[in-house]
Amino acid sequence: MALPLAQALCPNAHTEPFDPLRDIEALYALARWCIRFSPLVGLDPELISARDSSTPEKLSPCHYGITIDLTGTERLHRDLQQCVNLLHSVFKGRARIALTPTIGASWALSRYMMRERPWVILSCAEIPSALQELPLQALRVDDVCVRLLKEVGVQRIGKLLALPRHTLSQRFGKKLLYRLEQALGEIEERLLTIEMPREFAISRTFEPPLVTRRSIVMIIQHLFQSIVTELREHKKAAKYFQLTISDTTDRTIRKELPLAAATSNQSHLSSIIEPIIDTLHFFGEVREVRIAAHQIESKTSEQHTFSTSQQTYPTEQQRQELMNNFCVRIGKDRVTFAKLNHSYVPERSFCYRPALSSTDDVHLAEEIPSYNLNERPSILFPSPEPISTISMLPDKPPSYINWRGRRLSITAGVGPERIAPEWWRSNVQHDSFTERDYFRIQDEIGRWLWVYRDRQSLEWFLHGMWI
Amino acid sequence: MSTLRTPLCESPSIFPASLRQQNHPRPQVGTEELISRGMIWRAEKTANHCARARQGDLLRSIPFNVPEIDAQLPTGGLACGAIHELYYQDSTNISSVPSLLPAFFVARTIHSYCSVPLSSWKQTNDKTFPFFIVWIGKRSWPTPFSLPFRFLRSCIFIDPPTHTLTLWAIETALRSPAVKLVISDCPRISLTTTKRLSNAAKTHNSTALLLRQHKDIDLPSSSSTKWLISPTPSLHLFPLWRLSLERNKGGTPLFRSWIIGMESGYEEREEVSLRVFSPLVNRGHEEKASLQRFGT
Repeated sequence: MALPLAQALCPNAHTEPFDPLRDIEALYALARWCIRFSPLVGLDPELISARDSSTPEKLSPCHYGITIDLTGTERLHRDLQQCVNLLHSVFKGRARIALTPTIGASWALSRYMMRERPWVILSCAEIPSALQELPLQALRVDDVCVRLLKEVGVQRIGKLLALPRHTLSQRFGKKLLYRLEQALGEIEERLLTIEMPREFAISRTFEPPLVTRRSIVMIIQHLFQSIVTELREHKKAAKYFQLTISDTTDRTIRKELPLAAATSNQSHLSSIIEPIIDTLHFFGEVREVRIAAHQIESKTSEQHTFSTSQQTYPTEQQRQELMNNFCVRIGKDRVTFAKLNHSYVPERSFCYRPALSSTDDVHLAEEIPSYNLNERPSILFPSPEPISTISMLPDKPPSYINWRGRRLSITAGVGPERIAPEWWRSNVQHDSFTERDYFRIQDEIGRWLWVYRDRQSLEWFLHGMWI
Repeated sequence: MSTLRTPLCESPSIFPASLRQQNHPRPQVGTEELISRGMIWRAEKTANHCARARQGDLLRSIPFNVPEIDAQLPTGGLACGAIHELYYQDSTNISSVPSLLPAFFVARTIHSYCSVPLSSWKQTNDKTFPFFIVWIGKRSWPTPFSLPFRFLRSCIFIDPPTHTLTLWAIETALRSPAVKLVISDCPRISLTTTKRLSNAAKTHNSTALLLRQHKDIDLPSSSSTKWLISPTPSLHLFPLWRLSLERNKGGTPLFRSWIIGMESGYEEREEVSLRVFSPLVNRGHEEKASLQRFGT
């Protein structure tokens, strides 16, 4: 059904654009949550491969599911039926759940058997009868195979089970027999499981507490070294470190190190943390020191230079180290990149974005309004400064201006350049921007100023300079 | 971040199956054939990149590309591996720092290091300048319209909260191999500090352009050049400045001054050019008609 038709039939329907990658991420998060029921939780291999190949749009919705291997957890849950009921109530009856001895049968029953209550089959002998009425797609075979079977009058799994097995692979391909035997539990099926994210944190408790500053600094450096070694051993790098120091009076010092790029380089991290440690003031006796690494990224070894001769261009690592230095010492919000916006309104035509949040969309020269040096000033004031002027209406530049308590006579002027509100924007009704006439004017000492007259209030403002 | 546990598989080899066979004689394949097969394109690309960067690394100066000015400077341009000072003065004594001339140096630096016309840069595969250009101090930040658009990603804008951190940022940037040009709104600094910055610039062949207050122009410093820029009345319809070379280490001791203007085109705005105008030229009769139209 097309969306406009659906909206016409149900005007209050809530709609959102289809974003399969976001759905997969959400399902992945849900699968991680399900690890509390069993350590072995998996997703469909088709789902993972579709995500890796960035083609999730083509994936059938049937593959959006979670598989939990409850084998061996009977002592934990006491009764598997009870566990399934718990899952059912946790998802408020909106999840379709099947518990069977095989992955294939669970997959088929949860996707193709319409039933409010969960299916529970505890013996392989019961599987053929449960699958009998299901369509052939429930066996996870492709459409070609289903069509071939339909041509010979086989539309349900029950009919397929009645056919002699040894002829199936010859007539309809090996995949059909493979999937059928997997569903019936005659051959095993591997589960593609997910792993819990490993937490990289290290702490030391001291009894008696540390007293001297030297020993506290030494232990902080040692802990940083340990955590970096642990990261390197696991081929990981962290982008965010958190240092927590607790003293005997339960006062806590927390220091956060948000980096621009993930690192597991010991010397680089030392150069960053040493000035930070110098600025720390310890209250008294330190009882516990804890360092945690967050925003873990996988790191692979890479060749930096092609030859062994002197390096002549900066590596990505050197660029990242510089950004890390700036972000930690000066502040992540004070290290920025310039970004051009698709707007004709001077205040909105560009912005400075924190380096940590900026992405590759920083500049797209072909898509933004184009100006040469003389069209836009080199300095734009954060907010236009009001000026008083003597000028002729309707469209002459001023002859004199009063700015910052000084009267300046104007010797030349170019304009006006009219900038109107951007009517194509959705929030134009709430936009405070009003129509302006901009002039480039030259004062008596030769400075070129960018002034405008607000066409609504007829007031004049100085907005920028060429300096 | 979690990872998926996947079955182990044989790691893929970059060589074709025929070359991996033990008893198969290795065929004699020429370099050109390997390039045509796409097997050593990466090496070729890296080598090109290295060559271009090496050319940039050997650069000793950033020329203005204006013979009148370059001829006065001992290295034929703004010397690399040194610090330079730029002062702004106008009769209103407003506290501001120049931004257009530093933006011009950014364009010249990128042009000099890349050795290719910036407008044709998009025809190549690389879309970024390999080095960073660091702007320190919010007052020194120009609008991005004054900068080469395609290389905005190479410009970092830093706003240190204190003078101490400003100096730390200048020195850190100069000492980083990833930085080639540092432009900073510089507080009042001592001779010792300028020497320290000069040493950092010299060691790493990076360049600093310090934008300083005019009242500090007579303070001792170890900068290679000192420039004074001030606006000058223009009969043209674009800004003109008087650029004075106040100090020229290793060059002619004569005081030199030029009237300069900057131009750029729509399509090739990265190709910002500096022009020297003679102060004696008077084209007032051409301008009068247009000025009268505006009633000035």
